[in-house]
Amino acid sequence: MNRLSPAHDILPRERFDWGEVRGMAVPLKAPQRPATWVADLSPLTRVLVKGGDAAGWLAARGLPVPEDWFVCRDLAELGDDVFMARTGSGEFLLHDGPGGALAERLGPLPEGLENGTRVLARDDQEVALGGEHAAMLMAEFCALDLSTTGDALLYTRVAGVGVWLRVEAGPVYRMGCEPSYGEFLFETLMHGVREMQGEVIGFSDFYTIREDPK
Amino acid sequence: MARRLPPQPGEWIDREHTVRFTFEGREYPAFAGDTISSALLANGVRVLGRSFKYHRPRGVFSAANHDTNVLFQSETDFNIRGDVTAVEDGMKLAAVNTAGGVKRDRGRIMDSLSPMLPVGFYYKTFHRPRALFPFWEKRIRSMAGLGRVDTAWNGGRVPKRHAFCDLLVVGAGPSGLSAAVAAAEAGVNVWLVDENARPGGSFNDQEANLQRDELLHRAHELHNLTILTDTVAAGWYADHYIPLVTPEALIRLRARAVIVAAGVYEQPAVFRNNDLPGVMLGNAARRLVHRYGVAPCESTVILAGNSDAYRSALELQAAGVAIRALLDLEDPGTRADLFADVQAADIPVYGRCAVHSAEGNGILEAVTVCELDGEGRAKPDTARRIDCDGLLMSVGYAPAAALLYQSGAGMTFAGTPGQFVPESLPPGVFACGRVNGVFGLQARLDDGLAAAGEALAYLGRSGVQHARPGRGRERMSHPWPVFPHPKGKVFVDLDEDLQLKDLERAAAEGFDNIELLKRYSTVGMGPSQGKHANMNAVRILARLTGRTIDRTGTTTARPFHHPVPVGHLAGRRLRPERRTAMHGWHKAHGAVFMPAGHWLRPKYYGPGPEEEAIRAEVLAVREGVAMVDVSTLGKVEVIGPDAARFMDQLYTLKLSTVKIGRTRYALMVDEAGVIIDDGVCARWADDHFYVTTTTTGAEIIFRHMQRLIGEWQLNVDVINRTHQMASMNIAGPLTREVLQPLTDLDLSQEAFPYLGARQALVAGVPAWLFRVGFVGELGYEIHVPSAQARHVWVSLMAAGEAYGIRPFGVEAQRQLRLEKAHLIVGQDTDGTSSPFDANMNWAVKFDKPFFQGKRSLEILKERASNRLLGFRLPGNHPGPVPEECHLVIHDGDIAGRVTSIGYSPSLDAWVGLAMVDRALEDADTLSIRAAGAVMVDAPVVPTPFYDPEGLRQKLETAHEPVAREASA
Repeated sequence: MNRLSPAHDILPRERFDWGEVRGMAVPLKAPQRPATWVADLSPLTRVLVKGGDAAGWLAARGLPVPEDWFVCRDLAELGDDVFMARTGSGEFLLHDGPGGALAERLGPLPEGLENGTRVLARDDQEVALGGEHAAMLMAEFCALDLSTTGDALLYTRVAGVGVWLRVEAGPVYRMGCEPSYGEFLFETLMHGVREMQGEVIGFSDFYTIREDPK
Repeated sequence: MARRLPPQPGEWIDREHTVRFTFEGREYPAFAGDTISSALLANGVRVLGRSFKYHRPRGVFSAANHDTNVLFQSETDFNIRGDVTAVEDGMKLAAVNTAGGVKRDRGRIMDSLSPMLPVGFYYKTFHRPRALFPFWEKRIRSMAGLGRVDTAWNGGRVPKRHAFCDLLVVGAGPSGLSAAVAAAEAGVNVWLVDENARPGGSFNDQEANLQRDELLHRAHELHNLTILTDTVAAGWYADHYIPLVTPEALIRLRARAVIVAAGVYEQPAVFRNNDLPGVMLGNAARRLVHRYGVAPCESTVILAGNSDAYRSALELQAAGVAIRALLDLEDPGTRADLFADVQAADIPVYGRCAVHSAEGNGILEAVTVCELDGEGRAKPDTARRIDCDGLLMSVGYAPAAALLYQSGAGMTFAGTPGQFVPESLPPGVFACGRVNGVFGLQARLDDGLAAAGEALAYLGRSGVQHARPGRGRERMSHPWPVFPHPKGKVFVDLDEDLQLKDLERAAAEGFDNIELLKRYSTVGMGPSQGKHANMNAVRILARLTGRTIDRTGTTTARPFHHPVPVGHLAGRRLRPERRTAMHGWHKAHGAVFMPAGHWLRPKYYGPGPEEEAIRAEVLAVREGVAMVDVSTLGKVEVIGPDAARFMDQLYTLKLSTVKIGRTRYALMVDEAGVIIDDGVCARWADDHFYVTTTTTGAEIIFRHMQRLIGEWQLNVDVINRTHQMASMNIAGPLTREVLQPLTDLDLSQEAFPYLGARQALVAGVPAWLFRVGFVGELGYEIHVPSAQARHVWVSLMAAGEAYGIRPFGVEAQRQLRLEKAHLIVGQDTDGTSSPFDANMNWAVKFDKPFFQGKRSLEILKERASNRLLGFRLPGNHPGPVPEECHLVIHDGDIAGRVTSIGYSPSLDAWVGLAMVDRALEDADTLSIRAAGAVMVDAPVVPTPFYDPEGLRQKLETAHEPVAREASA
């Protein structure tokens, strides 16, 4: 266990059950389920595939090659919360779920270029924001109209930080930013949630809510 | 509550709930829903505030959010608007801008001094004699401003939120409601906003009828119609970006289309003492009656310039107010049925009469009325007095058209209805109702429907088709409601006590353009932003200059057109901050942080005095082993078949010849040959490079690279790894002893020579290692995935404990690099520095077909006008030591500047760099003007200052602590 979430130093500890997910220590369960919540999902695996033959690299691993840009494509056959999106002519963002099926499918990532393709794990700060006041908070932190995004993967700013953003049913706002902004972003969202009498929830809590939104 | 009327239909107060509040030490009852002003008036308190300049007593005037002389201070807030702020149980209020309370305000002496304070008095008086200006400035400042700011205040920030809609309707009066409901029923997403506490606008106090309830019922049934009350649409920006100021938030609304149905501001007449408490706008009186059940006065005179005055007379009489007289500025016969109704109600009507002056000692007691001559001037010989405690003015309106002006609408003055109306509107902006010059109730409802239809068509939707009703035949605004008086006190702008004579004098002095008049006289520059003054000022200036109203024009209506609390503008503090993966460790180990762009970097590690800590860190690098967090460096992977060519074209050195597993310094210039960045380039494969950039250049250089790839049409990609890769530089003679146990990489000189690049595991983490002379010692720069970086850092620190390892911060890093004369781009260079200015001729290779800036550098090679020279002073230099930016002087002229300087504990000397004129390149000494204008002669010395042969970083003298050089 040698990985740390960018938000590691500010994650709540008291009365939270902590555990390890993919070599990273995170809060798994919160003492209670608040009406508005924010979760640190940084342990999940995210991979950037970039280069002239990025599509070929994906196809060789039995993965689809989406035609549309910036549209999230769920890979339910690989498990819950696995999705990918094309983010350029030779660029794809892959997102693994808690089961790690995508990582298993990809195997060890190449150290260098492979047929002109670079495959890189991304140590993003990944955050999920949801619950009763999540939409109102996002209206404060993000300048985009997030009510009509559909399956889009957005590159935008939240609290002034560049993020990728996906809006899921609920709405639940899934976003990731470069790790150097991670602590600031999580801290800002955490303060916002707490102003709404909400709280941080654990990694496992998030998937429990995902299964049972009520 | 002596002036409380019996319950009124549709009133806004809740008579079941009584609240109690205190005004200037006395407790009063009120009903929930009362405003502060209505509550005080209900209790018979008529003097509610004092004016800004002359401290004259003031009372209710508009009751429409523009009573800027009726502002209150509470225990928690200031400049509370009494005419719209709901009174709360337990409130403790006092009037602002008084000395000793509203009744005994000692500032009232200013009123008697007013003849000595004509317009422009301040400009003309206080600048001479010059020496006295600070004295006057202090006094004027102490008198200016309203309210008492709590300087300990640090809260009150309200959120700023973004919102979106298809159609924004501004104003929830009859036309706005009609438009909003029709548009929403057609299926578009509509926001309807109104500054009042309830929707309905004039429905609530002028035209209460069943249509309001029916429209509101339909509105509340619509899920796609959002109604915000207490909300001011405070400005219009491009693409229909409208700030909505609500009590809870500032909403940044983006609408696809906007309908402005903001109505009109009722305008006062201009006559002597028109500011006395008891003198108010006709619609203010109607609001008091209908919304709050308060009688504005016991007996009143009404000044009529339009038919609304007649309606007011009938309504107030019905509410129990005695109407002493209705003075019509025109022939009452033109009022048709309303004249008959008023006569039937036994209200005395006087045609072609006006108020010549209001009378009373601090409060209205009577009015002097005069007949008008054929030119509309008062005939003093016809004057007679009518006792009353109320005087209502219904003489005209001005459109609430700030949003229209800001959107670029063309406005023109229309004789009927007697106001500015929209002549042309920009795409997506529509107007309806009174702001559009349409006054009849049914006409306004129809105008709203028509506007909705036009907006829907603009949005590509159908649903409403309705013709515009036309603007009617009645002139609703009298063209000249201005009645001069030889004794003065004829106010045009109550905000700042501006009188008719002030405008006359300003125009006579040459300020006869409306914008100049505004700035010189301050008309319209008070808290109400001229909502009740500008139209009369325009009329007065037009008459003084003999121009038409259209030709005279209006002043610019800038956003925000209504005062906004600072807390709304501040919003939540959102200043992104970047922290490295090791930030928590640094914090736990006493780091004192400094900003570097968005980053927070350890400046040095405490405790202890800063200078001592930095020196100890420097010595640790020179004599033992230390480590610095350099994660902030920009990091870019360059991949693709054209990667080598791209690197050659991007940088001045030849990088295509860098061998795999090796590094080389990389210097970048722009097209003008000016240094813009530098770093280290490593090569992993023929088609795979990794290059670092400066911290501040990271994002800019990456974008620059992306742009050049497109321009040069190369088959290459760049990947920004700045954030994903953390990096640390471990350096010092003992580095190898610390690092070797944590990696299976052979660190020997043979296996991993100077300027080598390797990939290996460090503390079990995949890492890229570069053996570079970052700080002039044996050192390794280690780049690892961000999530595992702290593990590697902590492991190295643990491994180095036996060797006395310590972290070092930015200040020590700078000093160490300065000793090696490694320049800092942007500090030792500026926006004109070429490599030749910086003595970096060696870093430019012209034997490449092309590189960015080559043509410029070919020219600059012979023309560089500066030189970067090193200088040195003994560690015990007496007197002031030069600082960065101190000037180099030669023959009495500026010949350069110090760019970097610092004390080198390794050398026990002050060493520095100075960018000087090329003429000084062979100078032995630089003459530097230090603090206190003390000239310091600094001997020029060769650079690098420390280990000039670079033997230590190349490991040719490893493990031999350097001998300190003697002081020069």
